[in-house]
Amino acid sequence: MKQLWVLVAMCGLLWLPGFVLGADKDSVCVSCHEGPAYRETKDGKKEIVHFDRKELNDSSHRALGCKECHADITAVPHAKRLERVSCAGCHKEVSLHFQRGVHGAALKRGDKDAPSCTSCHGSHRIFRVSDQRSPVNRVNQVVLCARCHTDVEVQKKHKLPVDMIKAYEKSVHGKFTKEGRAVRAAVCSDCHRAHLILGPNDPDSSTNRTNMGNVCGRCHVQIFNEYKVSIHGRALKEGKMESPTCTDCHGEHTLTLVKDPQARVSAKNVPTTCAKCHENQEIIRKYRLPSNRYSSYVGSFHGVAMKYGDVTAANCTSCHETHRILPISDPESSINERNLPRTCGKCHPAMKDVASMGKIHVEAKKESSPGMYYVRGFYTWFIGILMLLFVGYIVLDVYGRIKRKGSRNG
Amino acid sequence: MVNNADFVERFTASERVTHIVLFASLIVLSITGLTLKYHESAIAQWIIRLEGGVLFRGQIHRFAAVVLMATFAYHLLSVLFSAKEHAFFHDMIFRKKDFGCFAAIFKYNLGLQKEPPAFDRFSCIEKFQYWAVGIGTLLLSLSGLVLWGETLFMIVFPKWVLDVNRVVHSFEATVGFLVLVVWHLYNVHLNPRVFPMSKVWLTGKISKEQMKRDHPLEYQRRFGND
Repeated sequence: MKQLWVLVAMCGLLWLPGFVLGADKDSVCVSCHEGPAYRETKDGKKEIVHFDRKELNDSSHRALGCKECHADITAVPHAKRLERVSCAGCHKEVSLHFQRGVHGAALKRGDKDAPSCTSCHGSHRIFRVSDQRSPVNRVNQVVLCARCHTDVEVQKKHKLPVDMIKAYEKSVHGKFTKEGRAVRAAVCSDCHRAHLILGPNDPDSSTNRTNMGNVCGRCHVQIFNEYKVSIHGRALKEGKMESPTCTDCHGEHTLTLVKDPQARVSAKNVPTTCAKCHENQEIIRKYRLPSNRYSSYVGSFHGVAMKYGDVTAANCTSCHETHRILPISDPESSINERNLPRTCGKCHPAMKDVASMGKIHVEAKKESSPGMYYVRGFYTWFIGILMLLFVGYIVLDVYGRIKRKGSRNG
Repeated sequence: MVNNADFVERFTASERVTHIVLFASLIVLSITGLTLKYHESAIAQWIIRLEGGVLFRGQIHRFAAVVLMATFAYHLLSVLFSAKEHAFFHDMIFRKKDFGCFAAIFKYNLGLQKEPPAFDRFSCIEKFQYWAVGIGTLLLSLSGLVLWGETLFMIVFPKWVLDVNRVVHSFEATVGFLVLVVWHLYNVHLNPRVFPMSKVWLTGKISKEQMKRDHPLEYQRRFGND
């Protein structure tokens, strides 16, 4: 009989810590919140704060007790208004990132529209990012961000960009994500980061033009490597801020595949995309870029053929390369005199045997193309004088006929 | 009814056909060429679409160019090997007095000279046209052939020669177009006396009366001073 009591006592001892610290330690909370519990809302109404233990048991926080998050509860019944749960205790680094980001800053300002941790991650039903049940999982993320970012009121109030989600959904990243065609097609956080979200003008922002390459380069490794050594990549690194980064040519949320005729980088649109800077007189002057690259292209056979829908005609990138654009002086450059035969030879095989080529973007200017300049000058005068003589002759002829007729009649 | 005896042949059937093929090819070349030169204008864009796009436009242009060059070659051979055409060419050669004739026409029209200059078979105006078209066709054919095989000619010529070649082709075509549209059409067809058109290019015949008036020297040569 004594042995039995010892057994019972031992069981009790084993059970007691479990009762105090284990899953059941929340039984006090659950005793109210699994039944009706009330919270007073702003307008004084009572609202049930119902808590289903199952929700938490399902989540990645299943090992946590209520008080570990609702840390300001020291006694039951607790205060009517509880403090906002802080995740910073465990998620220290993430929390610092969030506070530095635009959402955190807005929250700090007391902005009612600003999202907190739970706005994105959920409260009790919280899952790992890799779990498809999580709202921040890449499958659900766009819908999550769109909740606020497509809200016209929020957009207006905070001067947020309009239509970017719509544009994203049409973009190659958006389409692939939606169709599930590419597991890793970029969603919001891939470019904007998850917590350290900053405006593009912030130098620390992932979407700042100085960092854009690193962002896109995470997936587009090869292309980024090519871009890095290009004149554009190097110039940007040297702090020449006008030099284009990925988004300047490809667009931001609107970016589509090259083969999409609407894309800024489609064969048809490449010339105008490059012309944004290369026809910009300010940029041309500042960096002493050669001028009239666009106009001389448009007037060329390549340009005309392209304009009338022959997308196989050469565009800027056909000769200058797409990402690895190098200056003519660089012996590696596709437009360096040495490499021109090979570059032209891509489309014109006979060109491979040409020893020297000469200027491609020609303008009828005295200094650069005297032959064209003088021949054009000659013809302009010739045609002008010829027309004057013709018209003069015709006028005189008609005059003579009328006069003679008049004198005959008279 | 006009008596057949009142008319004499001015252009042979061969010459008339040559003329028709020549202007047909030139019209096609002008339309397809000028639309490329002025490709930025809305009308040109509309025409290029009618022509089946910029590449098919090129095919049409080159086809018409072959026709033109064939016509040119045919005429050249005729001049060399047919007595009649040889005489035609002979009559077309600029003579010393042709140079004064333009001044004479000016004076006549201004009323400073009573009589118009007397012409033989071809007036100085007609000769000017003939040579303008001949030289123009030669220049345009040569520069056109270089353009046609630009890739090939790149191996032979430096690029600046090809750039100049393109300018020559473009402007020479403009000159030719203007000579024909402004000068030729007015002088032969649209001038008040024959408006809207002289029929000689169709019938090949000219009345003796007209010959006596417009080509008195030829008339004298052929029919004496009656």
